[in-house]
Order: sequence, then structure tokens, then C-alpha cells
Amino acid sequence: MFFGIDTGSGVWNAVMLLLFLAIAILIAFLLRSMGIRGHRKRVHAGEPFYFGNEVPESAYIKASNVYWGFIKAMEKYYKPVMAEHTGNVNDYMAWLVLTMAGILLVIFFM
Amino acid sequence: MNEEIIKLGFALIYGIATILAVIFLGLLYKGIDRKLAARFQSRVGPPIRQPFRDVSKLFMKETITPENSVSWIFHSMPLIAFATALLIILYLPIGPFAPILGEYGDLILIVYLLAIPSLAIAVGGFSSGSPVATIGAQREMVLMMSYEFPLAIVVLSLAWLANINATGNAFALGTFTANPVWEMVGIVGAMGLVLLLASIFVVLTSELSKLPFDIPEAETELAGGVFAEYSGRDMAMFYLADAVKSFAMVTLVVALFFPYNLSPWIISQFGVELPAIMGIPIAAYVIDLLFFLFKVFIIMFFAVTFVRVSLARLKIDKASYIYLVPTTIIAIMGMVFIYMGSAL
Repeated sequence: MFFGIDTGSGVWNAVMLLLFLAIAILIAFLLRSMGIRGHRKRVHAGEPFYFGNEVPESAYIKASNVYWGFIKAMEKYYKPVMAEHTGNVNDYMAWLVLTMAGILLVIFFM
Repeated sequence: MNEEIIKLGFALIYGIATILAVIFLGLLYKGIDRKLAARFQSRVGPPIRQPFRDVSKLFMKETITPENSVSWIFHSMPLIAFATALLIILYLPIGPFAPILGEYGDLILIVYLLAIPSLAIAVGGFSSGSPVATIGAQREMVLMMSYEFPLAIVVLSLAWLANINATGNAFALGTFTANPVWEMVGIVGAMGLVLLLASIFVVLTSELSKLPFDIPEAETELAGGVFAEYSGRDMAMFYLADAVKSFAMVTLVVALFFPYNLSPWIISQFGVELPAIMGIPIAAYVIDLLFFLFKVFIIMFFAVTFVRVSLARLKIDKASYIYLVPTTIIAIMGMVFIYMGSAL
């Protein structure tokens, strides 16, 4: 129906997806509108929760910490790989040449 | 063209009815889960209708916007999480009823859609401008990155199995409903399917943010984590999204692994003719729907309730490791067993 992709293995129709997404958003919006909008003005109402303390600037996690758990879980892989990131262009070129040589060996001898 | 418009109109009515029914069922199962979990812990527990009361209570509460938040993202994410959870349901078969959008989307789309509520939760957490919610959002992202890999292996293995053993689109859920996976394999392949089922059970717990993988929320250490700043109707949206997504995720497992209906067995076993009204086999539909709800209950009981009362919360790196290494290895072993079973 309408515009769709059928590869023989899978199907996807973006128009139907968007149409029914719009309906789902409408239903969600109608349900949401049953609730109370906003809040009364009072002291401390919109302050971020930090267990009753003032929020220090350093309490915000940095972008470098976003994947902490993931990197920690894969430490055995990441540690040697990150150690290879020396910042020296010569090292990166050496890796590029080595990888290309490896790929060419595989292509020609296998 | 007229026929297509009638079909679309029917799909719209059927879709809206399904959405409303699934919201009810999602909350009902949430209530059953809470009651059973309480019984496991020798508590009386809340009444089964408690989730309905929780939602109505949240609708009566004020919706606070944190000072540091990006308010339009903060308020729109709960809506997106709930709407996409509702959308997933439309691509899944509910008992004897074929998926409303089954012809318009496949398993790959469902896997992508399943990621959106979690992404919305993470984005909502980041936008709330609270350190506690930001940590929760960070954990949600890490968990998502970890469990998507074994989930993808399970889906690809089953699609590969369907591709060589069944007719029709390999990624379409209808193919799995018409050709149950257990009937496509021998003993070795069945062992592979058991391993894939085990992997998807582990993924299920995390997809639903339940113990021991409820690390993004972690009430006892992060005070609700990613939801710390949410209140009122926004929190109600996330609550409903969780209920609907739980039902959707379990329905997906039922559709992939246990798509059997009871009525054909009753007819063949007892030789009875099930009553029909105006040619519509109402009795068979009722029996199959009840059987489907029973299957959902059983899977929810073993994959969610039983697990969450038995285990303590894991540290985020341990949880991530469980998905990236053991669960992925189990899923790959399942894939290899299925391949070996097919090659034999």
C-alpha cells in the first residue's frame, strides 16, 4: 500500500510508520492532557535534585565519562588499543600500512 | 485504491482498539508482577489494580520543570517514549490476531523501534540538567549499547533459519507465526534455539530496566536516576511507556519462539467444532487470546518477576560485561548450533 520497500527478505513502509506514529502521538498527547499542567510557584521547586545539597559544577559528568561502564567492561580490549593512540602521525601511518599489507596478503594468498 | 482505503480505515480502527487494550493489559501485568514479587518477599504487596491508581495519581500531581533543563526536550521525551512503545505493538501479533502493520514492517524495524523508548529516556535524563539524572542517562546509554548486540544476533539467527526453511519474508513476523521455529530444526538446532531463548531472556530484563539491570533508575543509590526530575503527567507517560514496552517485548518473544495457538489442538484432539458467529470463529479467538495472555504471563513471570526478586542490582560495568561477553557468546553458540543443525 502506498510507498513501501519489499526486498524479499524484509519490508518497510515509511508512510504507514509515520501515519501510525502520528496516531500514537495523538493518543499519548490526549492521555497526557488529562494530567495537571505545570506547577505552583514556590521556593526550590525547580532546583535539580542533589540529595539536599547545592549542585557543584563538577557534579555534572563530562562527555568523556558517558561511556564509562562500557569502556570499563571492555577494559582488556580498550587498554592496549588506547595505548596505541600516541598522537604521532607516523604511528598511525605505520598502522595503515600494516593493515593494508595484511588485507592484501589475505586477498592474494587465500 | 478504494479497497486500500477501506483496508487502511479498518487498520486505523483496529490499531486504536489494540493500543487501548494493550495499555490496559500492560498496567494489569505490571500489577500482577508487583503482587507476585511481593509474595516472593513475604509481603502482602499492593493490589493488582495499583498501577492504574499510580497513573491516575501521577495525573493529579504537578508537573515540575527543572530550572536547568532544556524544557522542550524534557517534556517531549516522555511523549515520544510512550508513542513509540504503542507503535511497536502494532507490528506484533496479539494472540490469534495478525499484526496490524505486519505487512508494513519487519523484525529489523521492531528492533530499531524497541531502542527508541530507551533513547528517549536517556535524552530526557540528559536534558533534565540534574547530575543524578545525567548519571542515570549515561547508564541507560551504556546498557543499550551492550544489549543490542546479543539481541541482533538472536534476530539474525532466527531470520537466517526462516530464510532456509520457510517461505515468505525471512524477517517478517508472519513467517515465524506460520512456521514455528521449533518445527524448522532437529535436536542440535533445538539446542541452539534454547541458547538463543536464554540470551533473549537476559536481554528482556535489561530492555525493561528491571533488576538486576535497573541500574539507570537505581532508586536506592540514584533516587530514580534518569527519572529523578520527572513528575506528574510526564512521569505518567514514562510509567505507561514501561508498561506497554514490557508487554511488547514479551509479545515479541512469544511471537518468535512460542507462536502456537490452542484452538487447532483442541479441535484435533477432541474432535469438537468450536462455535462461530457469522462465520467468525469467536470461540477459537477467545481461547487463543486467553492462551496468548497465559504465555505472556509465564514469560513475564520467569524472565522478569522471578529474576528481579532473586538477584541484586549489578554495577554498570558488570552489567555491560554480562551482555558484551557471556550473553553474546551464548547467542553466537546458539547461532552456530542452528547452523550445524541445518548443515547436518
